[in-house]
Amino acid sequence: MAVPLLAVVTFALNPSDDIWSHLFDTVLVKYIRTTLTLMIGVGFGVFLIGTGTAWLVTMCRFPGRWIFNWALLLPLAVPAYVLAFVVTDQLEYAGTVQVVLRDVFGWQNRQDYWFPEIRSLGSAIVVMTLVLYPYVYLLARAAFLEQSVCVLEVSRTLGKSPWQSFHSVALPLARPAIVIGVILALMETVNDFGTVDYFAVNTFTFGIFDVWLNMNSRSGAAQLASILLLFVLVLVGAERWARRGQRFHHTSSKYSALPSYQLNGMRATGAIAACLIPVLLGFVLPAGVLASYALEFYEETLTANYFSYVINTLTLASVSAVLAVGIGVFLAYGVRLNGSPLLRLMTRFASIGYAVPGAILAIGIVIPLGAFDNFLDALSRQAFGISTGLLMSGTIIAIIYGYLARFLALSYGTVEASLAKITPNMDGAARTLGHGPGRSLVRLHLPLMRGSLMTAGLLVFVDCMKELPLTLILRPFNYETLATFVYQYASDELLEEAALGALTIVGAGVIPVILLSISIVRSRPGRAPDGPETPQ
Amino acid sequence: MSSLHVNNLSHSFDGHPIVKGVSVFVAPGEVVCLLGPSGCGKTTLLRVAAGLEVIQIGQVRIGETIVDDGATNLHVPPDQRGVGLMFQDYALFPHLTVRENIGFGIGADTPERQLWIDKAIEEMGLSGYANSYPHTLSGGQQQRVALLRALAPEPNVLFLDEPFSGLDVTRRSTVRTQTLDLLRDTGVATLLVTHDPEEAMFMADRILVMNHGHVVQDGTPVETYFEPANAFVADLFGPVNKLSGVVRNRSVETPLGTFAAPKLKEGQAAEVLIRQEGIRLAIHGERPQSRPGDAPCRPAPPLARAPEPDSETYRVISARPLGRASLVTFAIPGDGGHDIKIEARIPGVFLPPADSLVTIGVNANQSYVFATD
Repeated sequence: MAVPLLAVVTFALNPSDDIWSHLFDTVLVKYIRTTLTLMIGVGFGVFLIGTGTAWLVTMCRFPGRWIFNWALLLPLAVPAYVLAFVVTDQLEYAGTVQVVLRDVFGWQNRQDYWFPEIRSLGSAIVVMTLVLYPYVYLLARAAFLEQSVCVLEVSRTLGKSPWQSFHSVALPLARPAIVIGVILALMETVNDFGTVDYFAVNTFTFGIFDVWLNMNSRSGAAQLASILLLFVLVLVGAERWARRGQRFHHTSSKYSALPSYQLNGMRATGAIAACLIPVLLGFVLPAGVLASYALEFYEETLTANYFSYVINTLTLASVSAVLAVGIGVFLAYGVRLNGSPLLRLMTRFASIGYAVPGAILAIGIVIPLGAFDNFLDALSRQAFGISTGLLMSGTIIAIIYGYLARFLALSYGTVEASLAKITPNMDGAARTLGHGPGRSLVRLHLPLMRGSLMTAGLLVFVDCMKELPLTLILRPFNYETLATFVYQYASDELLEEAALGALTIVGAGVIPVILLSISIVRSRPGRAPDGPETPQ
Repeated sequence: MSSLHVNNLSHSFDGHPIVKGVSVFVAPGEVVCLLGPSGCGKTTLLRVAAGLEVIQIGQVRIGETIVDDGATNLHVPPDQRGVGLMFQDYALFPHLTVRENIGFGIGADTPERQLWIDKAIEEMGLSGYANSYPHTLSGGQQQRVALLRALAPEPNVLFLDEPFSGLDVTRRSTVRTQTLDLLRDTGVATLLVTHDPEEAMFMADRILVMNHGHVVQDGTPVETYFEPANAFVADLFGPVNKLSGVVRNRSVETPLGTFAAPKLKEGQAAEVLIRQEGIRLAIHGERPQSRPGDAPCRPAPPLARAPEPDSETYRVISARPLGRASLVTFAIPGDGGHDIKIEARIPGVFLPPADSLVTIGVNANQSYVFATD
């Protein structure tokens, strides 16, 4: 799984044509500046919305709180590029909003009024913030729930107001979790291609595609990719560092019911608005617009093509999900049986993929697979006089490989966490009762992990459905998935016809959101511990 | 039925030696108990013998079969050595019923074994629970299921790791008796690990006391209690009073009397250990009480004027009721005018007021003299 990364770096360090200096002179500074601005903007935005709403729903009481509890997660189901298409569709000159404004105020044309430019860096920041804040919300909420209320109450008795307590106690205690949430959101920001491409924002990922497809320079793309990899490694390092800090944060083992500040009147209205706006803009609006388009244009869109895209998508996603879970179980159980440091290191490395943008992985896969195919082709021509052509590149094997490299971390992490809940004594019991490692896995571990395996598979499945940049680069010629189909049609201003496809992706994305919201409610310490699951 | 031989076993984790050259022998039908504080290496020894840890140095034999040999790197995996192991947390499989748990280790599901399971479930009072899942059972029931599961495949050797520590005190004695009866019935060689001396005394035919990776004493429960090999073993069975002295004329003189030390060298520095229950007390002027329950049932009022102790009497500092016994603390003169506090555990209620005077008697069976370095 580390092959793609090594390939990118090797290829970048041994450029076949020297475009380093050219890149540096022309676009590099621009890419760095844009990417950093985007990251800072999104980072700030997700922190503000994520932390704020998390605090409101965990610590305050206002009408509708229990709905917002899970509804605030919904935007997670919407890929950023889908929201970007919908936002542009609604806000551009011919879009609903400007049409209504012109009608109301009697404006005739563009010169009569000012309206912000939609396809801009600013819009990209807003769009990504709206779909990525749930990462921060999720982790901040969990962190607030984990905090001992006693600590907050001590702060109150020492004369601090609720707001001061939040600022001086709750926020610092939740800081590691919030930092991790922001970093995860930033990883997604760096990975994004659909949005920045549509808004013509010159980030690194945009640049990689540009250099590769338009300038037709593989090594240039690899070089950009390796610089982007540096960004990502900084993020990965920061995440590990933040997780280390998390250990010290259970200051008291006493938990009681969370206090709730009852909000009334204006304050309650404000709280509702603060929670409602992100949900409306991040989920209800795009889902609504897409649904209405899908209904309106179903005759044009519900065609054989649509079904073939769905089948392609389902095939890729389900094969990848099954493989990812299988390999995840294999690795996690291997580490459990034989905890050698080498194996641990390898699994660590294999699981970095999640942080690496799809574009980098795609390049890293194309290069070695292409080399492998050429090698095989040459060999076969020499030996048999037959050209094998390109066996691996441009097949769905390449895409599945890419998905696995990127999402293995997801399944491995889920399987590992689930396996860790089975005490080693269980293994010992099964072993002394005459079951070897293989039979123990089948009769003991797999049945116990069944629920988690389903979750892991589902998470990978949905992420594969959403994944755009990797699919775009690695797919075979004329092979469309829902994501690439939506991207291409929407880019050509044909959102209406792409609506059904986009809605399908969003619909699938809602499933893991529901799972997440169930598990987060269950995870609060201090709750009566759940008994072992009763098998049905 | 087979015996268990552990020869010269040494084991370390990350370079820290945990077990240092220990040998254990358990005959068929015998219950041998490894007793020691946590970290003394007893659980490690059990895990190596069961095959859950790969042996480093030493040899393990079950009957005539060598299952572990550090010299030849022989290691028979746990699933092939026919041992039963019951864990401290029972490790019942939560996704299987009581019956499925017990039957988990039975390879060929013969009618005889089915019959055995049915009978065992019945005898252990689990009849109503055969199809229940483990988490619906009480701690005691879970313990019995775990024991039956370990015994069901007819293991050559049975290992029990702190088998009763998960039970509350009131239930322990019943479960212990039941367990012991079952072990006697099956006649399996049993190695039990515990840190609870009372449990070890009750269960074991032989106790091996372990400390810092070594076996420090190997004997019957009665020997271990009444003839501890050193101060550590004596201390293990409850708090003791410690007095120091020097060997003169084959005995050690202390403020509480003279204690025989026939095996120690003349002039050797020595320590006298007296169990709390080895001291008898009587209020000054009465004879030392010989039968429990004779003592006054209510605390006497405090004395108006504290009398001065003489060479035969001692001043009471405090007396506290413990239920079945009373804990009386009194002072004896030590070096340089400092008093030494001595604690005595007296059966029944015996609560002399503070500053009253008592006379004492020491039971020679429960006081021991050891050389100090």
